[in-house]
Amino acid sequence: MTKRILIVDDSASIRQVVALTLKSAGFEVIEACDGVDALKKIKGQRVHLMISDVNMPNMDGLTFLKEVKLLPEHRFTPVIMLTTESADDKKAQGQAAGAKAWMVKPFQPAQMLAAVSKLAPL
Amino acid sequence: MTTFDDFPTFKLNSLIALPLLVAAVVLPLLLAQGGAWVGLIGLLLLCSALYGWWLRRTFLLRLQALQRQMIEQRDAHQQTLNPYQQACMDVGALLLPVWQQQIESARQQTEQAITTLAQQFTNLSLNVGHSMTMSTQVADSLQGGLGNTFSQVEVDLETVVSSLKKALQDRDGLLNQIDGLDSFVDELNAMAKDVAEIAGKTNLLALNAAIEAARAGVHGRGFAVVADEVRKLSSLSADTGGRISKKVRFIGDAIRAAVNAAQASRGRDGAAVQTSEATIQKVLQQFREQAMSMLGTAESLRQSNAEVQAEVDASIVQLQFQDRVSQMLCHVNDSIRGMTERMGSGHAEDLDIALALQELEASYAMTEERDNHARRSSKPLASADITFF
Repeated sequence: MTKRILIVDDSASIRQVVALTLKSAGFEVIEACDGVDALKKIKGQRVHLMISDVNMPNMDGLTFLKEVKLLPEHRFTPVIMLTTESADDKKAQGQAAGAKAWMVKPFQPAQMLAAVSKLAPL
Repeated sequence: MTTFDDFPTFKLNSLIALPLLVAAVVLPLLLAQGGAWVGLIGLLLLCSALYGWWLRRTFLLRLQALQRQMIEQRDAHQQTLNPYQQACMDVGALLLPVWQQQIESARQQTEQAITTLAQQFTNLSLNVGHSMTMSTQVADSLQGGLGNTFSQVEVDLETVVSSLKKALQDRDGLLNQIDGLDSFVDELNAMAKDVAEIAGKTNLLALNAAIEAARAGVHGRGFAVVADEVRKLSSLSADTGGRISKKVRFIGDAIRAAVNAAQASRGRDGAAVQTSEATIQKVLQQFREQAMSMLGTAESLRQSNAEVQAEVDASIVQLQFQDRVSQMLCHVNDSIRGMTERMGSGHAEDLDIALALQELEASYAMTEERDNHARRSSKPLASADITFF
């Protein structure tokens, strides 16, 4: 079965790069431009992994992560935070909110696929 | 606020007025009583009062001059400070919003262009990937299909050549058997000769029997008939032997002619088979070389596509800089917006630069922003740092 991955980022170019990387590896991709948009798009959808930016308008990534953990159907879905933030206190916030990994941009496709394969193996 | 007018004028007036009042009251009394020493003291008091009045006047004049000088200096300072303050307010009200607008416009244009570029690179990458898949399929098809086809063609043509060689071998065997018939022809000739010789001897024997029958007279008549018939039969046998011999020679000649003709064609057929075999091998070799060339081209195309794909993918990754640049510009723009609002109030106490710097630093998301803020040299960007929790 094809694994479905949600990408949340306010930068369209970043979404395209991540989507290209994942699609070329055989994953199905859902794109959202912020936390609010993402919560709408995962409603009633089976998602195997989420990749979210941190700094976004409307709803930032950490708030989105906390909201996801409150949803019964998605509370156990692994989440990777993909961000330019590299401060340790931010990483600690992500870990406390339930993130499974913290990846700092810019990323290499191979590294992205390695992290994705570890958390949502095909 | 304390003014120069408030300064010690009251005390000075009191100090000078009191001796004058005393002198004015006491001096006439003392003069009336007629004491000379008393008049001298009164005079001294008057002089002191006059000196005090002079001192006050001089002090006040100097004080007023100093006051005027300070007012002039204050006015001059206010005249230079007000345009600067006005300029500061103009910077906040007019210049900073323009900077802000320009930065935002540049950020949006960059983001739009990079997004379009990323989309184009994505399509390019997908097309190259599709092309690479196609070329790989073609290469695999050529490698497998051509290999199998050539193997099959080689087997079929070798079968044809083998069949030809087998046919030639069979023909040679048949020719050898036909050639062997020549000895039978000789035997048949010998047998025909024997038949003719036997017929001649039988004829001679029948002739002797007829002579003996004639000598026996009447009693030999029947035997003479038999002898005559035997002589006729021997003549027939001699004729048959001659015909057999003639036929056998004809057959022998035909067999030798056929063998000679077959032997002559055997050399030509062998050469033709060898030529055909060489031609087949040559054609197969040419096709094999062309096929290998096609395979090489297909493989080169596949490798070239793979390199292009890698380059395009690397370019797409490099486009991630837009996200970092956009965030940096947003943070600076937000800070400019905040400074614009602060400067718009016109109050110096609102221009808390330390607070503005603190807010700007708090908005940073990247290490290089913090390094830039601290005026440290920023380290080059490394590849993705991944932390698993």
